Amino acid sequence: MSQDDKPFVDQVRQTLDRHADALDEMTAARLAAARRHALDSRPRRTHWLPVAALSAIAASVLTVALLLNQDVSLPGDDPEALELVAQSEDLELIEELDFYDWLDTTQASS
Amino acid sequence: MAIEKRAFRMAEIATGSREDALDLVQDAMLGLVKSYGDRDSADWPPLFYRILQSRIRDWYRRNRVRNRFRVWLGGLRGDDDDERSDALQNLPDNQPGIERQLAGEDAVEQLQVALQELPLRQQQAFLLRAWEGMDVSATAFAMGCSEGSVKTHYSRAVHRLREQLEDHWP
Repeated sequence: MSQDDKPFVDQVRQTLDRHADALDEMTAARLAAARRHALDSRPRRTHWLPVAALSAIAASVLTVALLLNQDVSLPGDDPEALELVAQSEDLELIEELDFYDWLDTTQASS
Repeated sequence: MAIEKRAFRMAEIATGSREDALDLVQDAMLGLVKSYGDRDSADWPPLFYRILQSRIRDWYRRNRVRNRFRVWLGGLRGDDDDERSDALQNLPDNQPGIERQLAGEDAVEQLQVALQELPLRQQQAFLLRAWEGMDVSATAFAMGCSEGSVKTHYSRAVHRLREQLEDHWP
């Protein structure tokens, strides 16, 4: 704005201010109500980051708790399962049967 | 002064209609909250004026088409357009004399008519810069145009207003 225009623009501004101030009560009330209505319709902001962080922490705590309380006792109540566990040496024998066969042959020949 | 009062007067000057101005301001408020409600409230004024000016331009486009149709219909009916040829000249002149100081409603009325006679873009640039106190950059954002355009519109508006009001204003 040039300095020449400043007094004119100032006068315009003051005149417009008076004009806006002189707004009738009904219109002013309608504008205020419109403003309130707009603000009330403002969408609530959801803070997803803290929600996600809390969920992750809760999931971790639950996982650790489940792992710590996991039942690792032997299946003592089930005889068949117990027998299978007890027979683990026999399983090794079967797996290395070739070795024992070779050992037996070697000892017999000597 | 509440921003909605100035916004309402701007819309009223642009449209010449109280009800349309109310609708436009209300619509701009809702649009602001819907699109930018999560922004800091300090960012709202330029965004609000951008939406409002956009709504006013839309209103203008719609009414230009409607008015052309009316003029066309009026031509068919033989209506006379002279009555609305120069609104400023047609204002009642209760206090004749080129030296007089216009005060109160008379000054407001003269100014309002002069503003209404400006092309819309000049009117918007002038009101946002001179009344709302926005700088060139914020005005360009609100009007959705370049800073150069704002300077041109504003300068032409001031020149034209001074020309129109110099006989009435000191």
